[in-house]
Amino acid sequence: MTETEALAAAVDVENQAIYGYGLTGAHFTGADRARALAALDSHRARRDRLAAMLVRLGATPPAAAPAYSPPTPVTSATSGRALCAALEDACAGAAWDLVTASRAGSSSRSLAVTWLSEAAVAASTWRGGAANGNSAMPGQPA
Amino acid sequence: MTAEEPRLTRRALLGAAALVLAGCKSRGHASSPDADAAAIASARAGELTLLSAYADGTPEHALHLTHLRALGGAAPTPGGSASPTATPAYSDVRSSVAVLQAAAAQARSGATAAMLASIAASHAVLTVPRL
Repeated sequence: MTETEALAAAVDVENQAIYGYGLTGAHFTGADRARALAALDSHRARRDRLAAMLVRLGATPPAAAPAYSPPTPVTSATSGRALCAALEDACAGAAWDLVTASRAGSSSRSLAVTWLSEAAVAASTWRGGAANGNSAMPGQPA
Repeated sequence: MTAEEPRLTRRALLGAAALVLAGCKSRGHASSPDADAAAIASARAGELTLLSAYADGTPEHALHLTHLRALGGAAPTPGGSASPTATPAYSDVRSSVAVLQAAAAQARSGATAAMLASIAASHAVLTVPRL
């Protein structure tokens, strides 16, 4: 996987996360809703940074699909939290790929390293904390 | 999530990269293969230090043992020498995150960088206060 391919895949994963957080928001109240809204802003900002990196490499960022189908229906706060955790897991995977494909000291490497930690922490938070089934190696391909 | 239109397959071309865990006494360039080996050795020593703080069988012990093995290390054996052969890059989880992230950002090998970044991410999860 080249850096350009990893960046394009990362943009795609962020587009999915943005759509997914929008989908879950209606089911959240209180702290969950505030966390989802903050995550939505973070994912939009990161998607835009990743897209700008792609443009600098001479590539065209992939457009978001009109809609995405979640793996399981989102019908409650519980299923919404599960989807958010899954979205963050996907982000961790995309971050791993981008870390692997990017050059030492590059801006994309730096972004990907930070992104991997942020995604792992967010996934853990949506699962209810550090003791709840977190991977020892977040983002690592199965 | 499944898009209504075809989309890129995130891991389609990602191969399983093998890590070459070489000797670790180099003072080479910050982004050289020897520097990668030195970073791995320091992280391995750091994981040994963290491992010693937890009882066998606890979730934290298992987690750091996984990290140690990913870094090419082996679990300390009773009566055996567990002394690290390199200076530990860290001695507590909280400070380890920034150290590992910095090493990942500068690693020449993408596979090494991803491994270090992933261990940093795992440690970052441990630093989040539990409710």
